[in-house]
Parts: sequence; C-alpha cells; structure tokens
Amino acid sequence: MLAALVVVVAVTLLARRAVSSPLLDRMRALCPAWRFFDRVTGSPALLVRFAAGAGELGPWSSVLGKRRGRSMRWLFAPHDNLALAYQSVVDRLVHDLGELEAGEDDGDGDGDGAGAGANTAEGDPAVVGLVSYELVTRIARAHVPAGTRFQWKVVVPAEPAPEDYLVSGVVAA
Amino acid sequence: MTLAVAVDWMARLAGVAAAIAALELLCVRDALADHGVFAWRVLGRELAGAPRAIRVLADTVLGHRGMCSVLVLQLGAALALPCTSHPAPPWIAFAAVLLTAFRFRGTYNGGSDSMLLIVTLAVALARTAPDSEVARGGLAYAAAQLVLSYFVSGVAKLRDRAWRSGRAVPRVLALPQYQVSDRVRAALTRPVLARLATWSMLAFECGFPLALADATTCWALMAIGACFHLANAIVFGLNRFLWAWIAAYPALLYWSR
Repeated sequence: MLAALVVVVAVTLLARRAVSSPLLDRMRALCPAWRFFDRVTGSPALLVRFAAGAGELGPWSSVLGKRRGRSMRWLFAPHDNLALAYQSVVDRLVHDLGELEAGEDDGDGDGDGAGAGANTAEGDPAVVGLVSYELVTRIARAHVPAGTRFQWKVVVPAEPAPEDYLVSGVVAA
Repeated sequence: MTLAVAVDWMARLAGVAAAIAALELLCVRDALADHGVFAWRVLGRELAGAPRAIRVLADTVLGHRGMCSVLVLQLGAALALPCTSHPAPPWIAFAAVLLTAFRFRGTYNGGSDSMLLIVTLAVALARTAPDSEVARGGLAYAAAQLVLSYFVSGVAKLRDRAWRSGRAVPRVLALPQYQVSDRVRAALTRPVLARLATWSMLAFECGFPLALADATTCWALMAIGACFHLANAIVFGLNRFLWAWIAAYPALLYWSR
C-alpha cells in the first residue's frame, strides 16, 4: 500500500506537466492531477448571433440554454455533461490562443502577453486553423437555426463587464 | 472486507458508472456524427503527425459508427460486470472508457473519466489474477488514488485565499455552465453558510487520509463522501463523479482493515 501511494503521488505531481505530444495528451485521463477548482476564476463564455438571409445579425445570446430533465440530473444527465464538454472546448480554445500569442511574443520579443483587447479571427489562418476554433464554430452552429448566417464570440470575465476575447467572422450555416 | 467481496462491490458500482457513461453518450450520439460538434474528422486532425498505423486504427475505431460500437460494447461490459467474474468485461470497459477519453482529446467528463479508468483497471487486474499480489496491488492503487483525489484537491484549495475566506463557493455556484438553482445560490451566498460549507468540505478533503486508520473511520468518511458527491450531483449535475468515486470505496475499505 505504501509503495502504491509513493507511485501515485509521483505520478500525480508529474501530471501537472504539459506534454507536447497530442498522442500522450489524449492519454492524460490515466494520470489525473486531482486539482478540482484549485483556482476559482470566471469561465470564458460563448455567445452567438444569427440572421436569416441577408438580414442584420440579431442580438448576442449565450449558448447555455435551460436544460431538460433537471430533476433527475443527479442520476442521468446527458445534456448537462454535453454542455460541460462544450465549455471545455471553449476553455481549450482560450488556452490554445494564449499559447499562440505566447509563441508570437517569444518570436518578436516584445513580451506583451496574451489577451489584450479583442482578437478578430477573420483572416488569421493561425487562429482559424486551430482544431479548437473549428469545434467552437460547430458548437455555435448547433445553437442557431439551420440555414442562417451566424457569428460567434468568446467573452471573458472582466470588471465592470465581460470583455470580447475572440470574435469570429460571419459564417454561412 | 475480503478481497473477493471488495472486488465484487467495485464491479457492481463500476458497472453502474460505466453504464451511465455509455448511455449518456449514446443519447447525444448526434454530437459525434460527421455533421456534429465532435466529428472525428475534426478531432482527428491533431493526430496528423502520428504513425500511419495509429491514424488508420483511430479513423476506423473513433469515427461515428466505430465510436457508437465502442459505446455499445462499454454498455454491454458494464451490464456484465456484476454478473460474471470473467476478466473480459472489466478489460473491455477499461478500453472503451480510455478510447472515449482519447477521442475527446484527453477527457470527456474530467476527473470522473480518470476514476472510472482506475476502478475498471483494478477490477480487471483482480479478475485476471484472483487472490494474488497483482489483485491486491490493483486495489491498493485504486485506494491510493481515491485518497489522493480528496487530499490533493483539499490542499490545492487551501492554498487559495478565496477558498480560505469562503468567497470561492459563491463564485463556483455562479459559474453559468453548472446552472445551479437560484435557491441554492442564494443560500450559499450568505457569508456564514458559505464559510461553513467551505471549511466542512476542506476538513473532509484534507482529513480523508484518516480513512486508512481503521474501518470505523473509513466508513464514516465514505458516508460523508457519498453525501458530498450526491450533493454535487444534485447541485451541479456532476452525476458521473458520484458513481465513479463510490465504485472505488470498497478498495479503500479493504485496505483500511
């Protein structure tokens, strides 16, 4: 039992290290870090707006709608867990963009850091090419009526009001 | 609790956890289709640099049809877990949960995926080599991970001033993705209740290693743990954590004797 504890402690501490290999990263469920809510910060939120035909885009709204079957969600919660998976994708996009910006800062050496002002994704292949970006676009598409043009944005918590972090171009549904 | 009884109970509870996980994903399988959010042709792009054999295997197994087959296999293995001591069901459940996590870029439901992997692995080892050091090692690993899951989480929170002051609980309750009811949020926004809830939880998490001291303490802490996870399932919708964690409890009870 003691040997098992030593191994597990070592692996749990190592689990905090980032791995560059996508293959190894996808196996990280085998090495949990167990740090639930260790830092409570607000989450980025995904908002969408849409327009039918050539009309104006409507108001922004959150993709988090009221979910069904809440009384039994302690037992069976497919839509709640899917929504959490969608949120993980949004969190991952913000993380991937931060890494992109950090990489650019390393390149030009001005060390500005990430997240200063809203980034517009349109026309930036490095952003649009991210898997996370396409997944977020698909999440947004799943929350607008079929056949409509739509646009999405990720907002991050800030005082006095949430700030735009990334705004997509207008997408044909 | 004997080794065999502990393994049987872990198998029953892991069967529930794995069945719920498979059924939930089958309910939302449209999201895994080629037109869905989690289409494999998008998720699989990150494996472009992987060896060809792995890419071909992944495309076959993790596409929509393949993934639905994996989930059906997982469901079948989960239902078989309490009914037979054959090692195949836990190994199939372990492989299916791992494939699902792999498909979703590491995890679909966070820590519950990890704990379910740990429990199914422990059961698989115990049923492959019954009443052996391998079986005891598997349960030791599960018990160790269970203890660490609470202890590390508690210590990590203790280091944050927001948790120590009781301000973190209202913030967590306000996170929109959990859709916590207004009544619960109102109750736990009150400073006294927020601090009480916070310090009760921290005391439980940081004190959990005491479960190894003796069986009585173990039972008491497991009862508190089950209530903690049930509360999280009701308030936050974190249902999978309830079943995955209590599936590991028999391993801890075995080692606390």
